[in-house]
Amino acid sequence: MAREALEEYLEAVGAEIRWRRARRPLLRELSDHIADQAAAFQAQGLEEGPALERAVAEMGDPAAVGRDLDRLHRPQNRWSLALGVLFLLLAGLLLQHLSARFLQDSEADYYFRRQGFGVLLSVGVLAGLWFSDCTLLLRRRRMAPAALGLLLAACLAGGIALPWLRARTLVTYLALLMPVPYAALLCRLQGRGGGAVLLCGLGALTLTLPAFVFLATSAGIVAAGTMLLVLGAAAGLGWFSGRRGKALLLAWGPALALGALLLLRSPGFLLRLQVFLHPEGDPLGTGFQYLALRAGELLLPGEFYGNACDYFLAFLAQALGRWVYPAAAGLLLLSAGLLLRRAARLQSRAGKLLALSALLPLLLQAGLYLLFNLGWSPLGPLSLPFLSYGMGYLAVNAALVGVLLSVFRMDRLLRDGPATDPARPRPDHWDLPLGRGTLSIQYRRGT
Amino acid sequence: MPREKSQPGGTGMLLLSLLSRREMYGYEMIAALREQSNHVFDLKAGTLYPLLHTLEQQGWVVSRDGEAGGRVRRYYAITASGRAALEAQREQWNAYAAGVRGVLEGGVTCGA
Repeated sequence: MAREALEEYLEAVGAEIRWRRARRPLLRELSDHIADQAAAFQAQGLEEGPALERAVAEMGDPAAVGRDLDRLHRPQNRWSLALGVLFLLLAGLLLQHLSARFLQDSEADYYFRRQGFGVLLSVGVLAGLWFSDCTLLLRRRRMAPAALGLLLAACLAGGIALPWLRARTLVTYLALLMPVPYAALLCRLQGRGGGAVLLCGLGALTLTLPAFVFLATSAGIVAAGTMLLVLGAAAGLGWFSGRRGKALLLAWGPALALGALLLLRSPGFLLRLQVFLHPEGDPLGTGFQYLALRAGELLLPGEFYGNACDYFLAFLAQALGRWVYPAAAGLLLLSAGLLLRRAARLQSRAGKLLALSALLPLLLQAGLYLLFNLGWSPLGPLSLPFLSYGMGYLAVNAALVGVLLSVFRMDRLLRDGPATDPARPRPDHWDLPLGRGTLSIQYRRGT
Repeated sequence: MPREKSQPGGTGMLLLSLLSRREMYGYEMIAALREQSNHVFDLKAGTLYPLLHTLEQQGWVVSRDGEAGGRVRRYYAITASGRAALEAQREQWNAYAAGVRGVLEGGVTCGA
């Protein structure tokens, strides 16, 4: 009888909450409160049933509570960001068409169709992740480590099994996705000490090692850089125990020192750095390219290394003038400022870390692309997100934006705290049917 | 949030005051409010949670899930902007209460 009263109360509250994903956490908080109140009544001498009934009666009008909670918990869809990405995708498709004509590519139609398919795929990936439940990454203990392990295993398996060029491409895509589960893993380490911070910093390097091994250096640096920045943000937000400055030092110091040491011992990177610093010493190779890009001189098909899509801004600057670069930098800084401000306003620190992990790879890619087109990056570009050619990049970047949109959408439901383990035995609990699942309520006897 | 809840002396200020001492979960807050007000403020849970969630959206409190006795509870803590809001409301409330007291007690005559 008492449990029926509880069920009726929670159902009445839940019926007023329109956002299905919000019902479970909100009803859980109310049912926890009822359990606490019932335990207090039991401690005063009431039997279990009457105590529970009285606790339910103390809660007030369920419809009014439900309406108040519904008003406060609506999904926060950032349509402007989604429409911005859609605009960029369509602009990228148009640019693909124009650049194919400029380069007089005989396979222009094939590339255009491929990019068109990539745009459709990206929209699907973005929408799928946007409306998914990103809180699962925080709520399920095993999900973040499993995702990281899967990405790492796929990097290693693909790197070994595929020809090196394809392996490098695959490892690049996977490395760019790693920061998201890494951030989710960090969210589980709230309150841990310096040892955990140190391991997290070194872990960021370890996870991206396959990228360096398979010569996807830019992706490795963007991924490792993002993870270290997210770790630094966590330290700055007081996520770990102890002083924030010390946590930051432990997060970045050893990882940056070891990373720099590894890079400076890589012959390929040293050679590239040498040419970057002294391009005049390599006038017929990459040095020529650096000199031309820095001077803003026209590059013709066959005069540059890599893909034409890596030089989109350079082509545009040569056609329209050098103002293209400050305009692109301004747009990038404006977008970065707006998105970072939006991320900083998220309610939970876990949400902020997740948002950063999805946002930074996009911003770093755009920054790297801009610097490369100016001739001022020792690293090769990855992509100009959503504008440059490449189905894989489109899908990966759309996945990152999908995660970001999902974090913004679920802001009201993201919480800092321990993950729950559904496998843990929970004595004295009761499963209440709720929507397509169940709400499990646990009772406490006495106080 | 209804206006009276965010005004000096409103329930929001009382909750912020409780949380300025330590973080608490919902049931604890109702019990503490009842006890410290000598049963004057007996808040219904149905009123408490929407109010707490409003304070959270205003950035005045943050919540986290914490484990206690094998159960996950949602703990609320005051933020720096919440402390600033509490301080501002406290000052306004003190001025208001002093004004009311002055009128009730016949006021203060200048030069008396």
